[in-house]
Amino acid sequence: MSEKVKHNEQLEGIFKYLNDSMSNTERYDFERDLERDPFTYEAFDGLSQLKRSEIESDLLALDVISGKKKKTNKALKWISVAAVFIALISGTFYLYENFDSFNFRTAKNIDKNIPEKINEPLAFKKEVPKIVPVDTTRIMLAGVDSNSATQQPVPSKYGNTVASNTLTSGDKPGMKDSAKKRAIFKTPADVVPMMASKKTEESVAEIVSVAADDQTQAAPAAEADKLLHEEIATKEEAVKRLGANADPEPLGGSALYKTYLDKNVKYPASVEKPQRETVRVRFKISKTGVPTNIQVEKSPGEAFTNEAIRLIQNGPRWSPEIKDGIPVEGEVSVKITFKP
Amino acid sequence: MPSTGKQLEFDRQLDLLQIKQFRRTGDMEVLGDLYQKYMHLVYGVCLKYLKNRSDAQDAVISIFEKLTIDAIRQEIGHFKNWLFVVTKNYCLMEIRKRSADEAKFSNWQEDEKQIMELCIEMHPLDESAKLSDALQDCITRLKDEQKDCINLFYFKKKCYREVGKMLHIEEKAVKSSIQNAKRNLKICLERKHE
Repeated sequence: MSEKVKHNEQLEGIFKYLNDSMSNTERYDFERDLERDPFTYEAFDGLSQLKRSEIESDLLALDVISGKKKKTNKALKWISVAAVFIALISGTFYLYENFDSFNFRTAKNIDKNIPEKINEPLAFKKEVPKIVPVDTTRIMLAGVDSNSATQQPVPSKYGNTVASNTLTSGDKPGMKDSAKKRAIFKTPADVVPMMASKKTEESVAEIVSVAADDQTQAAPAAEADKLLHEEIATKEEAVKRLGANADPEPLGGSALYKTYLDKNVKYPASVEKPQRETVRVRFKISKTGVPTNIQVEKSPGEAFTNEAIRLIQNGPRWSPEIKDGIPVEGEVSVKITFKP
Repeated sequence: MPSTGKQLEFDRQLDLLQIKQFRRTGDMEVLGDLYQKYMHLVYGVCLKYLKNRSDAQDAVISIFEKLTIDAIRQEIGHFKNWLFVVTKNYCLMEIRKRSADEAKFSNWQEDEKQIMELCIEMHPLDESAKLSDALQDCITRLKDEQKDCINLFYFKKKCYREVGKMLHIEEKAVKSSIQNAKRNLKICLERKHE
C-alpha cells in the first residue's frame, strides 16, 4: 500500500515543490499546471498546510480503510456467487431426477402457491427464492446477449448474476443454442414441483388439490411464461437473420485496453534483477463477455503470471465473439509488457 | 511534467471506462481504484475547507460512500471535475452544518455558484496559447500589479517566486494577484459578449 502512495506522480511533484527542490522552470511548470486545474490548485492549498510525513501517514490510513472495504466486499461477492452456484446445481439435480413424475399442467397450477410454500420450514427452503430469480434472469440475459450484434453492455442491475454466469456459462458450452430449451426446463413453474416432490407423497397430493382450486389464478402466469418464450424466440430469429460475425474485443477498444494494461501493470517487487519482461496469456471470453479460463503461454515467473492474471481479471469486460449474430464463447491471446 | 491536452483527454476516457465498469459490475474495487487516484486531491481540498486533519479524513471516507451511490445515479462526463464539485459541495455543506450563522450561510452559497462555473470551463488564459483580441484588450485594462503578474507568469513564464522578486512583493501576493486578475478578466470578457 505504501508503494501506491509513493507511486503517485502528482503527489510526488507537490512534495518536491514544497520541499523547494525544484529549479525555477520546474516550479513554473508545476504552477502552470496548478493554474490550469482548479481541483489540484485547491488541494495544493490544503496539502501545503501539512508536513510531508503527515500527508503520507494520513493517506496511508485512508488507504487501509478503503482496503478493508474492498476485502469484505470481495468475500461477500464470493459467498453470494457460491450460494447461487450451489442453488443452481441442486435445482437442476432435483429437476432432472423428478422430471417425469409430474406433467406440465399440474406444474403450472402449483405456480401460484410458491409464496406460501416457501415460507414453510423446508430443508431446502433457501434455495427456492434463489433459483427462481437466477433462471429468469438468465433467460433475460440470453435475450440481451443475442441482441448484442450491437454489443450493448449488460445492464448493471444484473451485476451479481453476471458474476455467477462466469462460472456456469463457461463450462456448459452445449447450452448456447438452446435458450428456448433452457427456458422450458427452468421456469419457476417447473422448478417448484420438484421442490414439492421432496416432501412426502401425501403433502404433494395436498398441494395439488389446493392448487386445483386456484386454476383460474394460475392461468395468467402460464400465459406470461409463454409470451416470454415467444419474445426470446423472435429476438433470436431477428439476430440470426442479420448473420453478423465479430471477434471478441475489449469494451472501449483495443487501444484503450492497451493503455489500461500499461497504466495498471505493477512490476513485481520480489524480482531481484528487474528488467523488461513480457507475459503472454490466452483466455476465453464467455458469451457474456467475461474473461475466463486464463492460461499462461509464456512467463518469466510466478509473480509475473499472477500480476498478468490480476490485470486480466480486474480489467474491462469484453464484447463476446459473435457467430451468425449469436454470442458464443471465444478465445483471445494478450501480451503484457512489464517495465522495471 | 506539463500535462498536455491529449494526456488529459486520455485520463478522462480511462476514468469513464472505469465508471462504466463499476456501473456494469457494481465492483467496489473498481471504484476504489479510481478514487484512490484522486484521493490526495480530495483530502487536500477537505483540508483547505475543514481546516483539520481528522475532519478531513472523515470527509474523504464519507465522500467515497456518497460516490458509490452517485456514480450510478448521476451522469458523469468528466470524472475529475465531477469529483471536485462533489468534494467542494460536501465541504461547504459541512461548514454550513457547523455554523448557523446566517451571514456566513449566504456567503457560502454565492461561493457554490462559482464552483460550478469553475469546473465546467477552463479559464480562457489557460485554455490555449493564442489569445483572442478581446482577452488581450481586457489584460491592458487590468490594474498594474495584476497586469504585471499576468504578463510575467503567462508570457515570460516566470514562476511565482521570480515574479515576486521582480515586483518586490510576496509569493502569496503573486498567487492571489493572478487569481484576482483571472476573475477580473472573466468579468471583462463576459461584458464584451453582452
